[in-house]
Formats: sequence, C-alpha cells, structure tokens
Amino acid sequence: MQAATEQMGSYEQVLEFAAGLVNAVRTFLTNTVNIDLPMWLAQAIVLALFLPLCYVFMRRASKQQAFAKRVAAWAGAVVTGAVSLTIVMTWMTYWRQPLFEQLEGEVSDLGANVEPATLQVDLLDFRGQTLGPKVQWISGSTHFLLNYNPEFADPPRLIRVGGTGCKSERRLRRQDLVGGTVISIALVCAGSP
Amino acid sequence: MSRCAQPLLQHRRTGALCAAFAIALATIPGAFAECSASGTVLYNSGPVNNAEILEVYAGDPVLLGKTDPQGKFRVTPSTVPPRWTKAVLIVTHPGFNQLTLALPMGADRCPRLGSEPLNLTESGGGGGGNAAGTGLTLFVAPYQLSGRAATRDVAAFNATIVEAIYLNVQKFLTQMEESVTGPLGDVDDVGVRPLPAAVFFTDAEGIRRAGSDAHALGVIAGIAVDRSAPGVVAPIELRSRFLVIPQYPAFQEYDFQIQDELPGNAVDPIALGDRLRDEWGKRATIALLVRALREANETGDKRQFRVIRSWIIGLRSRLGPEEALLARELEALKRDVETHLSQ
Repeated sequence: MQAATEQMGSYEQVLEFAAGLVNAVRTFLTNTVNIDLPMWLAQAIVLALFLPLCYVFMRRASKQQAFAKRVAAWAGAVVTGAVSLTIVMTWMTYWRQPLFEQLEGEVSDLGANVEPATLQVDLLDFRGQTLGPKVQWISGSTHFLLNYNPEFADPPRLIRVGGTGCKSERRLRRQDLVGGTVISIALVCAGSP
Repeated sequence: MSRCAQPLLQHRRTGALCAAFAIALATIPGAFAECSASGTVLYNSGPVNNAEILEVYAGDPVLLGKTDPQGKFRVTPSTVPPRWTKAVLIVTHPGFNQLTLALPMGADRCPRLGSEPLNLTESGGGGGGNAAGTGLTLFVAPYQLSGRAATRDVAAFNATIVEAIYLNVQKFLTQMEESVTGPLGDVDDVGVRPLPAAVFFTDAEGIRRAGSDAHALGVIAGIAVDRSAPGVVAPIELRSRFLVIPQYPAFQEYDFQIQDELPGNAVDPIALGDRLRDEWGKRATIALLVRALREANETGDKRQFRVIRSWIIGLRSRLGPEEALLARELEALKRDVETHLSQ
C-alpha cells in the first residue's frame, strides 16, 4: 500500500515537472505578449514543437560520428521525448479521471470565537490568482463544500482559508481533487501557539 | 405496435438493438431515477411552518418545496451531478439561521437525507425589513382555517393577513405619533412577520413561549371561519388572540381577543388592512408602552416617562366605551408612570 502511494507520488512528480515547464511558457507569454493560453493549448503547442524536435535529435544522434555530438543529440532527444510523453500521459490521466467539480474540506484549530462561516475559502491557480469558487459551509460543523469549474489538465494549485486574524494555505495534490478526500486545513490564528 | 414488441425471431437485428438499449438504460445508474426526500423541520421541538427547502448545484439555489404546518416536507431533489460527491440542501425561514446540509448520495446518485429532524436556530439579527431580535416585531402564528376557508391556499391567506396587520398597525402608530409630544422608540421599525412555529389559538402558554423565544413584541394567533355556502359569499370571521410579550410588573395583561369580519372575496392586503379593527394598533401601542416602560425603568429617564405618559393619554382618548380591558391595562401603566414621575 505504502509502495503504491510512493509510486503514485513519483508519477505525480513527473506530471508536475511537465506542468511546471508548460506553466513557465504560459507565464512567459502572458508577461511578454499578454496572451493567456489555456493549459491544454499551451501543452499542445509544446507537444507540436517537441515531437518534431525529438525526431530531429534522434536522426542526428544516429548520423553523428563524433561521440560528444552523438551524446548531446541523444540527450536532446530524451528530454524532448520525455516532455512530450509526459504531456500525453497528463492528457490520458485527466481524460481517464477528470477533476471533480466539488471539493470537501475541513478546517481545524479554529481560534477562540472564530465562526467557520466567517472564514473565506479560495482556490488559486499556478499564478496565485483566484478561481472564484462557490463555498457552502455546513451548518454546525467546520466542514465546507467548494465548487468550481476545473479546466482540463490545469488543476488548482493552492487552497487558502482566511479570516479575521487567521490564515492558512495548503498545496493541493491531484488526489485531493478527484473526489472521496476531505481536505484538512489547520488554521493559524494570531495569538495561537 | 412498436417493432420491439414483435417477436425477436422475425426482426433479429431490431430486437437485439432494442434489448441492448433496454440493458443500457437499466445499467446507467440514476439515468431516469426520480429522487425523493422527506423530513421534519423543528424549532425548539415545535414544527416550523413554511420553511423553504432549496437545493444548490451550479447557479442559484432552487426551491424544492416548503414545510406544512406540522413542519413536514416531501421534496424531489435532483440527482447529484457527475463529478460531485455530495448534494447541498438548504433550509431557510425568516428569523432563523440558514441550515445548510451536505447530503451523501446513494448508488442511484440520489441525495440521502437521514431520519433525524432538522433543527433550526434563531438568528441573532433582524431580516426582511422587520426587526426580530430587537423586540419590535409582532409575530403572527398561522391562522387555523375552517369552514369554506379551509379550501383556500393557507400559506397565501396567512401571508395576506400578515401584510394586512402590518399596514393596519403602522397606520395607527403613525397617527398616534403625530398626536403625541415625543417618539416612543422607533415606531417605523415595528414589523410584522409570520411565526414559524405552529401554535394553537387556545395554547396561551405555547404562544407566549414562542414569542419569548423569538424575542417578540407580541404574538398573534387565531382562527378564520368562512361561512360561505355554494354560490353565496359570506364574510370571513377572524378571531385573533394578541399577547404582549415584554413583561413589566405594573402591566396586568387581560386575555385580549379581536374579532374582525373580512370580505370573503377580498385578497388585497391594503383593503384588508383598512377593514381590520383599530384594536390591532391599540394593542400594539400597549406592547410598545410596556417595552418602553421597562427601558425607562432601567435608565430612570424622567423625560422618557413623560413621553410614555403622553402616549398613554393619547391612546386613552382613542378608546371607546366597549374597550374596558384596554382601558384597565392603560390605567395601571399610567399609575406606574405617575409614581415614577413623582419620585
């Protein structure tokens, strides 16, 4: 069981690596030419660039006589191939198991006199911008249900809970977003130990 | 007759397609399932009438139904959408905190509501333009309808009566305010709203308890009788009991009932408000006086006692000879005010 979890963790890390690379491209495009591409489109562009590159590198590697140039070409082929493969894996993963539109969370360590319903819950994307979720606090509990519109292959990165004098953030993993998990957030309030 | 009903041997391909379609329908969970949920909404163990049951999916909440006078409801919620884990059901009623429930779903994707009653809690602040929580609201328990009135829409009838009482009381209080020397608190804030708990006209203790729980200025409960016969529209007889909720040592409350006759075919709250008797406003003024006396007694503010005295005198001058009970209540209050002013 633990081995399976670790395996899942490393698989997610691989997906995270490719997502990080594509997000860097998206951020660059936004900052330079003010174009905000959806994740799938950015991934498709990267894939369209990297797949031919991979082919070119492989051709060069097979034709090169010099050892150093051959190694460099193989390294290029491996990197472009790995990124392309990871993008395809990401698409397959999200196609097979899409993100849920509803998340359930629980806030713990509430400070004295902090009413859960007064706390603000937010989902943030990779840029730290809010995804505008709709939050329902369940009466008589510290649980909340949160709804948002997930984008294909572009999961929210952070969940943030805040209120008067209290704040907490938690990084979201894919398994938090595919249902059946209650996201637990320990609130840090001013004056609490 | 459809081709599906014909022997499969004659139309093998059509039959196979129909069978596959039927199997697919049967195996898609919740494809055409109609969900149902029922329960009871209570407040302090008493039923809450007219509480709204709403479901929340994408977009605005959708009203599924309302509770009956016994606090019971039966609604048909939607199936939980794909990629959702729970349904959100909301129970609301003015004067109470919203109750938000997260309901798990079954294999048919229908929300599962437990058998426990849903308990509402009183909200701290006012709402709906009225002033519950500040002690300036008159609560009207749902009228019990009998005779031909029993065939009316109970909720609509009670809503109209609440509006009519509000208009009648506000009209009287405004007239009073214009004829006396000072303001008796914020008369404009006196509101009228339905009492969520169904209390019986005969249950004075229950009425008073519900009023205390709601921090009411007064509670009204009553019965409505329609003596119309087929083809003959007779007036509706409205018999109401009006209890003042704030308590004050010098205030001796008499069991006060108001009898109104309303046109059997009238539904306009403004017209009905004009038809209601002046006793509504008079009794509301007494409730306000008792409330003001409690406050003045705590602060010892002589100026406020003088204002109260002017209101008592103003109200006394409007009483008719048949309103002896109100006159006695006023006399007792006036004596108390005079005692405070002479000290």
